[in-house]
Amino acid sequence: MSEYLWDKSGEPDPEIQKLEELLAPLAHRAGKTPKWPALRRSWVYPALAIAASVIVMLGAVWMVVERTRPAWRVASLQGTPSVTRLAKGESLRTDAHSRARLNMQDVGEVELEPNSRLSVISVRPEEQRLALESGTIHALIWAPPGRFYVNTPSAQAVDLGCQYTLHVDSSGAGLVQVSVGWVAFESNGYESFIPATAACVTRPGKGPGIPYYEDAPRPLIEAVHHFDVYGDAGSISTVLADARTRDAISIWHLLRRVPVQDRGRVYDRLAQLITVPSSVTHDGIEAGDTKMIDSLWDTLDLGNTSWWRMWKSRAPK
Amino acid sequence: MENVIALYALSDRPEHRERSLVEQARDGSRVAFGELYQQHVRMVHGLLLARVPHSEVDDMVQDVFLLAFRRLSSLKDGAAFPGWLATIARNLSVDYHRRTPKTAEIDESMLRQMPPPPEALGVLETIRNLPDAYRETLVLRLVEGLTGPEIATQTGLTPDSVRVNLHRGMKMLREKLEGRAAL
Repeated sequence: MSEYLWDKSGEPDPEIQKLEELLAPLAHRAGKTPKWPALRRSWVYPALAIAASVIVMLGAVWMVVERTRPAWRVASLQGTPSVTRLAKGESLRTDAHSRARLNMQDVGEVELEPNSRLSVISVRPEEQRLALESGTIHALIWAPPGRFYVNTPSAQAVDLGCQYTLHVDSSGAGLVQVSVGWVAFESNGYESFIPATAACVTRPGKGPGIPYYEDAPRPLIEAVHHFDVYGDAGSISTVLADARTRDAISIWHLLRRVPVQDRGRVYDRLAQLITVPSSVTHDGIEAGDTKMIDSLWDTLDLGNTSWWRMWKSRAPK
Repeated sequence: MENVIALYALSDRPEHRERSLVEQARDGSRVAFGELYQQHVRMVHGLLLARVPHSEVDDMVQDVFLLAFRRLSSLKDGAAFPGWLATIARNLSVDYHRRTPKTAEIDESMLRQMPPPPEALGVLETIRNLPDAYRETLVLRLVEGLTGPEIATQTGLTPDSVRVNLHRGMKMLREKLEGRAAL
């Protein structure tokens, strides 16, 4: 093969030259380089990169805001938690096999039992409020009294510096059992103060019931529950008959709930169990004198009423 | 200093320069892609001319480069650009024959173009009837004016293959042309 055919070097081959000349009009005619459209990549990728950066930045800001936003930390005791934080407006539900522990540094710790649903209503420093729609929680609260609340369908439980268990059943009825300290149940103007080792039931449409010590005689406890529902005179009689000295707390609560015609006999029974201050009179109690009723509380050896009223002044209206 | 010289020397190597241009084009540089176009347009034109009617080639050259421009991000190794481009050109010519009826209408724009000499079209037709390997190489050499080494570089064929194709193709073309002249 001639080198001319290979790389146009050496002696030109006339026949090849002739073909080159003949075919030259068919060759590509050099001209202006076409104007290429802008590559998508030229703006799409930078735009995507910018968008991604913005998303990452927003994500980072969101995470910082989320981390700094007051929220309960969530840890699983059993099962796989789907959230690690529970902020205002958020809810946590446990199934039959899962339990969760919520913790907030300056407030306390709440354990959520299986088949429970808990929501965060408020996370303000002066008011930490949860709502237990159903199920059971165990609360250990170290926040100052009157700052931790749990709403139930029939009453709010106000922590007064304590450890307690709160259960809400499918009907919306609640039961609080206090281990340490005190809890107040409050709804529609009714309030019940529940000390350690005592319990209290709250029912939809009725509100907080009469608190009772869990070691109280069975007939007394059943009579308290009956009174909570029906307010009948027979239940009052049973409570008065079976009350021990420490059950004076149940009678004190009864005094504020019974009809006017029953106040006298309830006061008389209470007067047998405690030392009545000289300022308190039978007539005054029958007339519903609140100062006298408070004075009776002071003799229960459960702290005076000024302490009890203090938490109310701190509680939000 | 030596390092700088070495870098320049490195970037002057064809495959590195190709890679650099492709990377720039991939980043949206139309100038770099224009340079790639200038370097390879004759190869693309020749590959198409070896397969499709002369009147279609110019438009199809644009199609090949446009397609390459849009798909540049899928090319992993910039040094492979010429062979990749040649493949696009061959594929488009196959598509052309799939979708185009054997008898095509002649539009006004085709009539305004200066028609190539009939003798040239006759020889081109003879080349097109040669086996694939020969017709492509001969068109690039005899029509587009590329040298054997340039054909090898731009099509991805080895220099030996190009040399053999040129030799055998030219021999076969001579025989065909002589036979046609004898008629």
